[in-house]
Order: sequence, then C-alpha cells, then structure tokens
Amino acid sequence: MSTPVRSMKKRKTEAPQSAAPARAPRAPKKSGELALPPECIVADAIHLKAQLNKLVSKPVVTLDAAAVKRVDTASLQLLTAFVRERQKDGKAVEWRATDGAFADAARLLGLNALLGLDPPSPQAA
Amino acid sequence: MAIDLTQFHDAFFEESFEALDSMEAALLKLDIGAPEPELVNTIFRVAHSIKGGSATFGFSEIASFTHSLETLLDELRGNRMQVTFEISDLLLKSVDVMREMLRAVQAKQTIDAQRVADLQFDLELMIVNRAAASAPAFTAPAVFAEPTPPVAAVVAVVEPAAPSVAKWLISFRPYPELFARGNDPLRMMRELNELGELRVHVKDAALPAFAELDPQSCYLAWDMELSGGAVDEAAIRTVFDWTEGDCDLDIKLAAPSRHSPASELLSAAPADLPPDDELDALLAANNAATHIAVSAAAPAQATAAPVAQAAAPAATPLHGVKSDAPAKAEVHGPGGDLSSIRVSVEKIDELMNTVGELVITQAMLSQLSRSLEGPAAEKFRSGLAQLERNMRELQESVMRVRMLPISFVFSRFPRMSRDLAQRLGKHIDLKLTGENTELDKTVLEKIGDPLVHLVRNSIDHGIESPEVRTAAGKSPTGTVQLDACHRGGNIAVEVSDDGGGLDKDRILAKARSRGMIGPNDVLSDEQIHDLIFLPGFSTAEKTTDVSGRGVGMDVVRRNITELGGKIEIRSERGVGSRFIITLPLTLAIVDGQSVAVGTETYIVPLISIVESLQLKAGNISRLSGRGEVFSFRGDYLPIVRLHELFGVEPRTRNLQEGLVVIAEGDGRRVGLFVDDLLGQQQVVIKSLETNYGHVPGVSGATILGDGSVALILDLSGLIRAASMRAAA
Repeated sequence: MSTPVRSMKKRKTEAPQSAAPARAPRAPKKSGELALPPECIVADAIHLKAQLNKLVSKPVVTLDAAAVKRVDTASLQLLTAFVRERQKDGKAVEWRATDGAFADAARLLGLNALLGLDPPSPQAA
Repeated sequence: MAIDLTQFHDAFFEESFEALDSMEAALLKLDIGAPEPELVNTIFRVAHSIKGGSATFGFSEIASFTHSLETLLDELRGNRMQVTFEISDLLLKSVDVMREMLRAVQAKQTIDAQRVADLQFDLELMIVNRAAASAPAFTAPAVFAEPTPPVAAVVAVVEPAAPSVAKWLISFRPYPELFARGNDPLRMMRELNELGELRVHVKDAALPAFAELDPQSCYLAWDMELSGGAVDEAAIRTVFDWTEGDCDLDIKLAAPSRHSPASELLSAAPADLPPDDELDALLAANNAATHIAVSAAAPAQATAAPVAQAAAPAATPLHGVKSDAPAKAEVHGPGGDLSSIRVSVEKIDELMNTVGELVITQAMLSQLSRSLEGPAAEKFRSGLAQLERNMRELQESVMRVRMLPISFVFSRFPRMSRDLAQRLGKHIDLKLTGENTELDKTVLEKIGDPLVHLVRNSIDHGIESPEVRTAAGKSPTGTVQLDACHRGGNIAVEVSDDGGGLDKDRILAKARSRGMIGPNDVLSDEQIHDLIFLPGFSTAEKTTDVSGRGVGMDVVRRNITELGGKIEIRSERGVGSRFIITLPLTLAIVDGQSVAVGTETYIVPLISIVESLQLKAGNISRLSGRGEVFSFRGDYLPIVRLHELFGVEPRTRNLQEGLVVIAEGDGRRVGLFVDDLLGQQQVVIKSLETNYGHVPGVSGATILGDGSVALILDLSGLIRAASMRAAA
C-alpha cells in the first residue's frame, strides 16, 4: 500500500520537468475550443486556468480531452469550477473524447455530474 | 426594550466550552453498566443548557444536534437504557462534534454538516436500537417507542440494527494546501476503489467562483462509503497516511444502507422538530436567556442585598452560573480553554500582596540609596529607577488581572428598569454608557447595591408619571442614564435622570421637623442635597414596595465611603438629578498625602482632601459646644488635632505654626491639624483588622520606604471619633 504513496511524493519533484513539454499542444485550435494537454496536473494548473479564462466569454466552449493521459484532482477541480460557472450563466460546455483516463478520474472523484459528463459523453471521432 | 443577544454570545461560548469539558470529564468517569446518577445528570444538564442557549441565539444546527443528544441522555437518565461502551463512545464523539460546531459558529465558519448529520444519525439509531433491543425483554414496547422521533422509528423498522456487512464511512476534508504538499485525492480514491466497492460523494460547497479560484488550492471535500471485502480501518488509514496534517479525516464503521430513503428523511427530520419539541426548545430557550443574564450579573449578586433579589425576581441562578464557584470547581476538572484561565481570587490577592511587599522593599532601597555617594551609587540609583519603573508596570499588570468591566453590574439594570417602570406605570428609557470601564472586582461587587438603590430611586422618585411630565412640557418617557468612566486614578459612575429633581424646600422642612438641622440654619444647595444622606431621612410621601424600605441613602453613602469613594449630588428642580460616585480603581492601593505629627507619619487619602492651608490667628475661634473652629470660605469648620486624637507628642501645639488639612468624610468637612505635609505617594494598604484589630478613624496601615509603619486615616470614622470626643 505504501509503495504507490511514495511514488506519489516523488512525482511532485518530477512535475516541473514533465510540465515543459506539456505546454505545446495547449493552444486553442479555434475560438471556443480547448484541447486539454496530455498532462493535466497541479503544476500546470495556473496555465490551464489562464487558457480557460480566455474562453469565459464564449457562448459555447468545447473541451477536448483526447490527448489527456494523466489528470489530477487539481485540474479536475479547476474544470469543475469552470463548468459550474458557465452552467450558472447559461452557457454551454461541450466535451469531446472524455473516455479513458479522464473519465476514470472524474468518476473516481465523484465529479462527473458536476463536470457535465454524466450523460454518456460523445465518443471520440 | 429589545435585548441585543449578541452581547451574550461570548459568555455562551465560554460557558458551553467549559460545560463540554465537564461533560467530557464526567463521561470519562462514567462506569459502564452502573453509572452514577449524578454524573449522568451532569451530562444531561450540559446538553440541555447548550441546546437551550443555541436555540435562543439561533444556532439551529447545534440546537438540533443537542436535541438528539438530549433525547438519548434522557433515556439513560431514566434508566430506560444502559450505558454501554458504544454509547459512551458515541457521547464522547458528540462532545467533539459539539465543540467543533461551537468553534465553527464562534469563528463564523461553516459547520461540517455531514459529520454532524452522521453522528446525529448514530445517536438516533442508538435510541431506536434501544427500543428494538429492549422490546422483547419488556412487556410494553409502546412505552419505549413513544419518546422516539417517528422518523427514526421508521428506520428501525426498515433496517435491522446489527450491521451484517462492514461498511465504512470516510469523511475526507482536505485542507487547501493538500495539493501543494504533493497529495492527490484521486490517488486515494483509486486505492480505496481497490479495497472494496467505493461510492464517492463530492462536496463542492467551498469551491469558489472560477475567477477567484486558486488552481493550486484544494476546495473540494469528499464523503465516501466503502463496503465489501475484508476491509479494516487500518487499511483505510494507510491510504491516507501521507495526508496526515493536511486534512480532517474521519473513518468509521456504519450501519448498513445508510443511503436508504429513510436516512435521507432522517437527516431532514431534526430541522423540523415535531410541535412538542419546538415548544420544548422554546422553553429551553427561555431558560437559557435567564441563565445567561443571570450569569452576567452574578459576580455582583454574590453580595447582593435582599432588595436586589426582590427587584429581579427572575434572577434565581440556574445550575452552573458563574457565581456558583464551588459547585463549578467540582464539576470542572483541570484543563479548559487555553485562551483564558480561571484563577481563584485568593491567588491573585496573594500575588498582589507580594507585589505590595516588593513595592515597599523597592521604596526602602530608594531611600537608602539617597545616603550613598560616589560613582557606584549613581549606577545603583539608575538601576533602582529602572526597578521602580518595572515595579509600577508589574503592579499595574497584577491590578489589571483583578479588573472586570462594570457591565457585570450594569447588565442587571435593563431588566430591573423594565419591571419597575411597568409596576409604577412610568415610561423609562434606560441608557447605559461606558460599560467597558474596568474596575477592581471587590469594588465592583460592592458597588452593585448602591447602584441598584440609586437607579431605583431615580425611577421611583426621580422620574415623574407620564401625565406630570407631559403637563410640564417634557417627553412622557423619562430617561435614566448610567455612565461610567475613568477619571484620574478613579472611576466615576454617574446615575442621572431627567425627572423632577430634588425638592429642596421639602428636604429642608423635613430635616427641620426631625431636628436634623437647627430651625435657623442657612444651608447651601449642596448642603441641602447632602441631607438626604443622613440616617433616617426619607422624603417619599408614601412608602412603595419599590423604595422606602428603610434602606436609605445613608447606607448608599456608607457603602461608598467604605470603598474609599464619595458621592455627590447635582440636582435642579424640574430638570433632573445626577448622582456622581467617585471610587478608587482598587482597594489595594491608595493615593495618599503623608502628613507628619510629631515623629509619626499618617496617610490621608487624597480623595478626601479638599485643600491644605496655614491658619491665621484671626480665623480661629472657639465655639461653645463645638470646640475649636476656623473660618473657611464663609463657613466654620471644626479643627481636629490629630496629636490629641492619637495621643502623640507634636512638634507644635500652636495652630498657626502647623498646617491644617481640610478633609471631608461622611459629607462633613473638618480641618486636620498636623505639623507638616510630607509628600504625596501611592501606598499599599495593609489591613489593620486582619493583622491587629479595628481602630476607629484608621482604615489601614502601610509600610513606608524607611520601613516604618504609617496609619492610613479613615476620614468618616475619624470625624465620628472627633465629634464624640468634642461632645464628651
């Protein structure tokens, strides 16, 4: 039981290294759309927030989780806040390719409903 | 008059925390199986008081929780349930939860509702189980079902109590810095998911708006249910090993099917109590309000006269009020709130006494240092000066420990004035100002009665009836104001009203008819006002049950002079009266003027001194029957030769060679004939009565810098002693 825990601690120091390459694919493809990076982790959460911030005013936002290989609670919490705020303002968030690691994480944290993932998300094209 | 309850919040929290400590201590002493009834009662009372108090102040979550707790405790108290280990454990947990709730409310934070609801569920379940478990053993199960909330009963029917499959409830409340410490709840969920069947409920209540969110802080919290397999607590705890100190974690074994509709119903149930319970809560709330008010007034009430009790019929102390020190000490074990501790007055007095001795020693050293010479002496003196400064600070700090705000006394007046006004058919607006002014506890305790008397007088005699007021062009509502403030080294407490003022003609007529003054005496306004302080003087036309019980203004003045204070009256006919009480801040130290008579030194309290002067031959005369007098501002004051009174050989017997200190006591002025004035200083009062015996005209003694003892004069007693001498 304790082995994964220790690796967890180690990861903390690794995080900044893995963060650098993660930034590349994050640029929005077009307005109202954001492709989430392969590593959605706390060390990059500030950048992710900045990216999401640019989309706040867009009437419809599509979030693409296709590239996501790893996601942590901090990133999902951020996305949850984003989605919740949009829902409150009556603006839509569409998800793309939310299966695999992303969906697992959201389900384990009990966040799928809040993220708007509950109805079976559209499968990746 | 609307009462602002928030002023009682602090007292409520303080008392509740203390009460919880005592409840905890009692729980720990509780014998499983054969509990001592008194302990169970103590525990019940704590829950009951907290329930009542929280209902009064609108802390509904606490009230609701304690209601369930109280129900369980009532079962225990009534011997309808036995104290088992589980129950004792549950009760201890309840103490923790109540403490947390109180802390949260005190800090104006949100209460961990889930944890509370969970525990409340357990409490209710325990009550229901009791009914279920004991039903076969007893003949009348209906009796047991009766006190149980109906919803809980449903649960009991739906679900058999004994858990068959282990189900763990995990409450996981990360602190914001959890992420920053390298922890990811997702990992824990994964691991838990491997242990058994995991159901996760996320709590997003603390999640801020997107713009305000710090991406690296954790705002979410989780409740989890883990069931199946051979999960034990240790395994679950291991998952959270690395989060220790970064989260609140609560793991417990739950009865199965907690998420049945019934449990949801149940969690809603406490919020809307059945009508009977509401009434009960209201009643309890009423009790609590009285209780708090009483405890606020309690210190003063410790010395309260019967009059005070009559004035506040509701002020019967309930259990555990502050004045109830011995009982409290018994209930409260060691420990308690770290931010304040209760110290017995004795210990403080001891400390005060020691500090007093230090002051004397320091004065002695200072005096000694004056006779020293040379460079070393200079250093010595500067060191002593430093010591003196530190001593003064120490003395002030110790004195401050004994200080309490005068609101302890003031707080009884709103209720009293309301009751009185109602009874007398008057409209009274009571204004309290300067309630935070602090004064010595002993002074505070003794000033209560005189103030009660003055306020009652103002309402009864001072303020006119609404009709009279309206006819006089005043507002029908009379104003009585209580004000306290620091003035120099003293505290001034003023009771004023905008009533009719003192009727000088009536006072004079009465004083003449009673032979208190000569028929041709001409008195100043001030002297006329002072007449009301004479024993046996009362101008009230009829004796009401409010005033005129024979406890007159003379007692008020005596109480105040006993405290080393004085009372003055300012009154204007038709406009109102002001009674100004000046009191020393403490009874331990007095500002004194030291005077020399022969080789002796006496201390005259500065508060009694009017002025000092040297007499001229033309001012002095002898009056038959009144001894020596001297003229002072158009008045003749008797001369009291201190050397005669105390049997001391003076430096001079010639009145023109010495000095006269004009001092006042009991409303009378005399000239004290002394050899010389020595200087003003603060002296530490040592009681003569405890160390020797009562000496008329002397209130105490002090030790001077040179180690000699000086007597502190009590002017009222001294004037009495002198007039008896003159009369003899």
